[in-house]
Amino acid sequence: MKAGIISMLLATILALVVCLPVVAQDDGSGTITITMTGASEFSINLEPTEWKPVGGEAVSPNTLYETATTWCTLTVGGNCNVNAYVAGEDAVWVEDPSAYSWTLSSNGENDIGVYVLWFKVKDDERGYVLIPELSQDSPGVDFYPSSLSPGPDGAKQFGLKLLTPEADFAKDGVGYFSVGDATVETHVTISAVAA
Amino acid sequence: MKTGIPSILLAIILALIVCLPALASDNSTGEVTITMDTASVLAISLSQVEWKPEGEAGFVSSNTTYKTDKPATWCTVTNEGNANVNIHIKADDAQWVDNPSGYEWTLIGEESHISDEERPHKYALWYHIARDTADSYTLITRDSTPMMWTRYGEPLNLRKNGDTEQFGLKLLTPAYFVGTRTMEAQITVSAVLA
Repeated sequence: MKAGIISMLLATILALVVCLPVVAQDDGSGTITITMTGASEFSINLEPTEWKPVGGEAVSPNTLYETATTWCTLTVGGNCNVNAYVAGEDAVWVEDPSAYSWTLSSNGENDIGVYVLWFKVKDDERGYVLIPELSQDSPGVDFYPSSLSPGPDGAKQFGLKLLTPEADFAKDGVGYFSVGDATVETHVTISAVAA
Repeated sequence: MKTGIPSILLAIILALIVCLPALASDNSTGEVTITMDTASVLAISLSQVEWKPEGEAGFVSSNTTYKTDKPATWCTVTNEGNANVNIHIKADDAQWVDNPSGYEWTLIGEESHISDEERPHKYALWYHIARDTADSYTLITRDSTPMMWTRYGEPLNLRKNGDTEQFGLKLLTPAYFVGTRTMEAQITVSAVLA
């Protein structure tokens, strides 16, 4: 019973510690020291966020498509530098994702049912960098060799390049994918952590 | 003692509530969506292109029903393209091979006319889709119409390259016809964009 009462008192004291400055009496003088550490706050913004190779036209098998290297701008918001990572995923048939998909290549080579994605930051000496698959073990490949600073000065422009899979079949000498008049969709994810 | 532990936990929670903003999660993600449309090509193939119903001595008899040797799986239709297609079917009048304009059997277009007692020179054709309701046959008409599942009430569909379905045929000969004449009819199976 005694232990309970003591514990309740301790709990009340701990809670009151936070509130003490509010109820402090001013009979005499005292000093209150307030210590605060600012949190790292940041966000990333991408513009644009959609890419439709060849506009409304159909993509062809075993064909390279690319945007300009200034196609997309990544801007860091907040108050700290960040390290950013890029990762991709398998592309799936929107109508029935489990029925038809393209696997993201892990070695830069395409094949039947295998496609490739690269990105290139405008002033990055690495040139085009292969985009790996997003996994629980890795957020992807470094977006840029160094950390990115917040604000317009730290913004980076980049582009994408895509190599479609080889044809699933050919008809009259023309290659096609197994599903026609279909939309295949994939996503490139860019994640950031405080540097 | 038991009341002590919850009280201490309560105190710690109260204290943490004040500190939470300083420990806010510090990561962020953005996403680019890539959409790609695919081109389509329309093509189908049939595994069977001939059927010769035969009774005794190689002839068909009047007012007699004949089925393909495999009632449901006799013919396989395959999507050789990649378009989303429904399969349509039609037939025409049977004509005398030696003189097509000289003699024919008229294709019956309505089930209600099958039982007509007087049915000279008129014949009927049906199809049955594999895995459909047992012994469910649908009349084939001169107008191209979608082949329908009686089980689902839906058209026979081949969505992508390599998809297949199977069907069989049934024939009813006229109640009366001119003998010893070889008659020939065409059944057209076609793919139409779904």
